Amino acid sequence: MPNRSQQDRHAKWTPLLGTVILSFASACASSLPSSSLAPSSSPRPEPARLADTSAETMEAVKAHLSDAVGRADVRLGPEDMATSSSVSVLPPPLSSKEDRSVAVPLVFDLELQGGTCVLVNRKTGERTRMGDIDCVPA
Amino acid sequence: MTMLRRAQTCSSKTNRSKGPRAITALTSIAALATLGLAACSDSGGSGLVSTPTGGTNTGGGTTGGSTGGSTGGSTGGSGSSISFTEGVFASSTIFENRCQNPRSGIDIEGNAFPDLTGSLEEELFWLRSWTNETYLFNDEVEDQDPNGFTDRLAYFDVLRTFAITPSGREKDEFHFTQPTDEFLAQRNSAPVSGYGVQFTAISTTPPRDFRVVFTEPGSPAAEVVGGLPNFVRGAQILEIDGVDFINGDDTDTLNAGLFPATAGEQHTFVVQDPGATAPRTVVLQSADVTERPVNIVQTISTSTGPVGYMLLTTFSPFSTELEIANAITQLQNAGVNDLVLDLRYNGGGLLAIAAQLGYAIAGDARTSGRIFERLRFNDDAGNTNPVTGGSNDPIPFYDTALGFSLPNGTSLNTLNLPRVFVLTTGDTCSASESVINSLRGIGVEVILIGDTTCGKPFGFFPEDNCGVTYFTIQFQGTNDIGFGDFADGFIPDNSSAQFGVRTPGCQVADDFSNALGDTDEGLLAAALQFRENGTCPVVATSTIVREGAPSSSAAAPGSTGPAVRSPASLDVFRTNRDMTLPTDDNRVER
Repeated sequence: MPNRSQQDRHAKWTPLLGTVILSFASACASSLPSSSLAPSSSPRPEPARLADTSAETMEAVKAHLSDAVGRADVRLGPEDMATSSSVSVLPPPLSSKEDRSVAVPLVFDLELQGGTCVLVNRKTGERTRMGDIDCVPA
Repeated sequence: MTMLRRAQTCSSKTNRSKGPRAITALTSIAALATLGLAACSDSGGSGLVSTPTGGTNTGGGTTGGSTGGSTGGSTGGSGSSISFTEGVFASSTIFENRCQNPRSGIDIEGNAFPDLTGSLEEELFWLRSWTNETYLFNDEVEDQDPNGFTDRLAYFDVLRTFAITPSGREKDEFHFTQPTDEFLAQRNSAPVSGYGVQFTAISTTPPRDFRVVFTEPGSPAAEVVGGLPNFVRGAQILEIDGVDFINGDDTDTLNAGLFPATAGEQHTFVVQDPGATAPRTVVLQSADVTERPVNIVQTISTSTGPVGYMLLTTFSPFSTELEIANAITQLQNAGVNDLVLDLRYNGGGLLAIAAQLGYAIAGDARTSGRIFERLRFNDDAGNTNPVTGGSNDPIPFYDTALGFSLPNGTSLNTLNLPRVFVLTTGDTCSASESVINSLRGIGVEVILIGDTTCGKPFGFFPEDNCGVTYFTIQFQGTNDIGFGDFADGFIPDNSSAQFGVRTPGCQVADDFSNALGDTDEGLLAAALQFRENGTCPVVATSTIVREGAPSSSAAAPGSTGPAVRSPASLDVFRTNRDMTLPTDDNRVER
């Protein structure tokens, strides 16, 4: 089955992303919201998954994702966060007039950093700490 | 929550040549300081814009990180006067959300309205600047003084090009508005109660004529009773709940039967199936029907190997990603060496999923390093998306799932084909046309069977300001070799049409006398014939003559009788099949 690596895609289409992320983190670290943290100030993050995916936990995760994307109502994609170390946040549904939409889900990677569960926006690198959520290494 | 604002500048446009437009976004999410808005200083012109003097944010609550809360640096509000200098534009950010009638509270998605107290004048100047910044054909817009207008919609109406293309069409056919509350309600609407049938309205007035186009798998309309599906393709409606559908006056009963308000309603139809000698009575119970983007997937045996057939009716629901992936896997496992992709009723939707389909057809080697679609914005945008302020990254042929309905990163299967047969009509639109254009752009042979596609290479980002959602053409999609000029559609090679992108294939009328997927159905049969020997069938006329131009009210010529409700005005779930205008689709799924 033909399969191109995701890394190739990212390297191909977002060559400046890394630079942008690093610049952003550096420039804004001091003024990041309290729920965010810079990766350099803590132990090396590792991929993680949720320790439990109860309805209560998922509601809490959605609340963090809601803050991260700036939308009151977020709907999650099909990933099972009990086994997956990433989750997609669906865009708003298309209106009846959007026949050529560039909308895509926002993907967040789940990391464990210094014992804290962190959501990392894969596109922007923005990190959102979830102090009330238990994660385990993926 | 503190409101973040983007920096603004003025730009000058003289002799229709604009200087660099600045949407210098202060994108830092951590920027907690509110930026006072300074009036534009002279930037090459004498244009004077309003000096903001403090307004009131009426947004209630701070849900979801929206921009609630008060802020300084607002506008002068009503009574202020904004000077107009032709060709000189302030940043739209100065005027955005400054409303004559600001909304308060939160919208139905839970987000606080960002409105500030403002004026009609500011709304008009926002439209002018926003158009200058984001409209694809901004250098063709006559710069009219907003102060001469008293209605924001009337002003928006003139903020477009009025050029006519060589084919006689308006260059911009996609310029419209919608109340934002309606826009949000529609995109958040629950599945529509109905039967799972898509009608085409040939006439809504006597003699009325509605025909069945297709049914959704698993829906009440597709349920087999007595050896036949309740509705078969091409069936004509003769009677509903005892009322003559063709000439009857009781449109309330007819509408109630056509468009059941709730699930669980029972209605009785008398229909004339194509080729049948006598009418047939069917009893239907409405249900909440979920759209199935992949309506049919099957393998057709031929003397030269198995051929795949897929009827894909939309790219819009998020489930499309999963359904296409499953269909491709099924066809791959069947070992097909050709694909007939039926897009005749596909009005588009998500470009990313269209790009996945392109990859699934063409395979890894043909798509590696190639672009599915690049968005071309106006000449001032450079490599920036002028709407989002972000970089204008091209859309690749995605080879993995994106997380719409299949876990992100999941590898996609591919048929690895050097050619594809695409079945088309005038309803094949937008993102569907992107599949055709983008495959052609990487050297995949696209064989067009059917009729001219709708011709919509354009797109937009719906934009709310003060309760109105504006739609203006902001980008044109181009393929890997930079081609995107298909505003007159793609046409089969033997078409008599004068305009359009001529493509190998056959002009064939849509065939309502056979089921979709049936190898006797006109378009599919033609595709198989062309595949077999490279010839086209003798041109046949359609068994159903549909309205030549979409109309919200397909009235019979000379008719004076009452009309049943137009499908276009009823079904928000289906109107994205044809984006010509919000009310221009005659088809509806019920």
